[in-house]
Amino acid sequence: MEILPIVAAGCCILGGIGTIIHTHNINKIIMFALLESGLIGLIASFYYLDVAIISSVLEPVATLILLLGVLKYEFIIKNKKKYSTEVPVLTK
Amino acid sequence: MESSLVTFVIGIVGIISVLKVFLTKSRALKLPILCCINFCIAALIALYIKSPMGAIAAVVYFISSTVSSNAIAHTLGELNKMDEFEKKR
Repeated sequence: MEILPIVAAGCCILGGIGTIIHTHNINKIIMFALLESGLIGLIASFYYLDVAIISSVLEPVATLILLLGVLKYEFIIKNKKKYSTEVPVLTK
Repeated sequence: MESSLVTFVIGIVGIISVLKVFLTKSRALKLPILCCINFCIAALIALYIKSPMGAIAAVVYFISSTVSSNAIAHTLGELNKMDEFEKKR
């Protein structure tokens, strides 16, 4: 009975379904982190340990870049009208 | 596998946490459960692979997955702070 491939496959399947189903941005990124953890578990269960180490180092970098993009996106959406009225236009 | 009961218990905890992270509605409550899943997978990697390289992989995965989870939590806090700032204006 091998437990690690079962848990990792469950993570991958439910993470993929959740990435499609959820609608909020942060929920999508949480489910994507779940999918990545399952991916690293599956890689390690097939004994590709160097690939598992490199991908587990690079996984938070990808998540950080996605989160910076989401933060800037939300900030632009919330402040769009205020910029168009309050910021002085220089080319007038 | 040598220590079968330990891996079985950790696997059950992991599967329950995966189902719960999929079904929980609260956004802030998903992050500790995600951290729990990451710890479960790190422990399963360390128990599954019977060589010193497995221990190194488990340590690296533990550190980097904690960094990722905390980054998501920090962004959630920033979004809530932005909402409160919008309400004050």
